[in-house]
Amino acid sequence: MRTIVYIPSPFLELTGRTRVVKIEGNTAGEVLDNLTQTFFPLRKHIYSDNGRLRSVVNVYVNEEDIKFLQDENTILKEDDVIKIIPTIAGGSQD
Amino acid sequence: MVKIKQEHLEQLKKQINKNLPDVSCGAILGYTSDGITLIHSLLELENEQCEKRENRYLITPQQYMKAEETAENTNLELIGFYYSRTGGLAPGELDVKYAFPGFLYLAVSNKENKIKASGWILAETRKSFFNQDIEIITTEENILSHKMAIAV
Repeated sequence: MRTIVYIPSPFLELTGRTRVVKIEGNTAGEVLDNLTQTFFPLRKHIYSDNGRLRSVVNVYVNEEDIKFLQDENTILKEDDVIKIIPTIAGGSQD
Repeated sequence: MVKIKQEHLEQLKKQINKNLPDVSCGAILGYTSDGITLIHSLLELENEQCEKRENRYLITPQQYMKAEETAENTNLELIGFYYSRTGGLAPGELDVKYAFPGFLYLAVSNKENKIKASGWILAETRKSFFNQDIEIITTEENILSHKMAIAV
């Protein structure tokens, strides 16, 4: 099954400025893995060196954060949409 | 190079004064091409950080998506985010930790009612950053000519 993945603005240069892609996979993890095989430069921005999703990258299936579903094992249904959403935060340590 | 209108600096000053002592933040919409970024508008967002709001900021995924949608609906690009600072404007450890290459980050301070801004972009390696020169533009003619230059 192919699922629509919404690419956020900071990653557009890494997908040839393609905003929406359709990627094969039955779970959120499979889709993300296949996405980063297709657009390999994305991989280091989505996964950490240990192969886990980076904590600053949020993945939503429709309107739900996969952290509150089954994480990367979240099973996808027809017409589901995946959104990759960067965490925007910062400040001083004080 | 980042080009920003004087009116945006005034907008930032108002937002910072309104939210003191908390950090102010928001999204930057505009155009970018060949190393030139033209700021068209600033989208004010709530600082959703629960603790240490006077030093830190957080923009939720929902706010992030609102910024993306606003950019798309107005034929602009979401080119980055801004945040206020009471101390120095250089990015700190937390700023770099949460930054993404491909986004412009604009740090702004308003000391003694004098606004200062400093822009930076994270390197692809995520280990360093590049400072961005800032130019203040004042007239619509300036903005139109910059837009045309970018469009070409």
